[in-house]
Amino acid sequence: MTSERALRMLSRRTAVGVAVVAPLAASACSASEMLDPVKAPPPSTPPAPANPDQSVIDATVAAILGADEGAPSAFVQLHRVHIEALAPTKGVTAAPASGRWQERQLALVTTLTAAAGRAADPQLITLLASAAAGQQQLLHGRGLA
Amino acid sequence: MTTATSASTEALQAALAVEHSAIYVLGALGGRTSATSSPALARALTDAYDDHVNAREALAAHVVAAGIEPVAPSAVYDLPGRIGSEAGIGAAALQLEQDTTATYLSLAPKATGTDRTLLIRLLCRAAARQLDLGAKPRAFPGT
Repeated sequence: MTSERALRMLSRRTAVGVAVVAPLAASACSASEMLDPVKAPPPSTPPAPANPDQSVIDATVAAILGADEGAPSAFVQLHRVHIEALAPTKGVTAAPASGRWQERQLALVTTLTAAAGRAADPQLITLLASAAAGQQQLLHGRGLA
Repeated sequence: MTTATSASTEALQAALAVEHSAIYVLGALGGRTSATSSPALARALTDAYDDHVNAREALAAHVVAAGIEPVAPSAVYDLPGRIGSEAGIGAAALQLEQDTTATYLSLAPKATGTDRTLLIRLLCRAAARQLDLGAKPRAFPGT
């Protein structure tokens, strides 16, 4: 559809809308009552419930970030993919790193496995378990596991 | 036995049934592979076979610990097609490991506690074995 045609259709719809609205506005009801079906939630509406697994996610992401230092780029890239999929809370920082990078990558498989063991949401369990397997594959490919 | 424990043991039993099948198929594939003319494939199949036997034992031990009789193997399993060449045998073994990985991943959320941990550990082993059979690493194996 060309933009010109789209504009013409839009104008026609606007015209129809005005034609429908006009009699209502002229009636005894106020126009604002009739034309504003979307209302703000009442002030007492509670906030959306927090994800019960969020602490598991954030702790895991902190461990992944902590394993970045000194690791080959293939591992760091894999970490990025896993972190993005886990959707952590904004501002999660890396856990303190210690030991050689190889040891940290191996420990990460254990961390991901343990996190999958603690998680409640089946989708998160699947994600963490598969991430552990992805990490193990990369280690195995380098002869480290 | 609670429902959660029952579901967890059922997941182990399903994994055990997969291992019985994998051991049978890998035995058949290994029997068709020459260690002289295809040493790398023969070694990969032998390692995979040993790994699956270890997995079977670990799973059976968990099932017995839950007070349940482990599922028994069938007398015979269907073999994959096109296993008349080294390439065909390698492809069939890789497919088996990919299927095993996917099965473990689907079973892990159904298990709890140490049963789930075991399933994920075996999932990781299956994913790693794929590389020995020519697969490339993936960010999320089994999905």
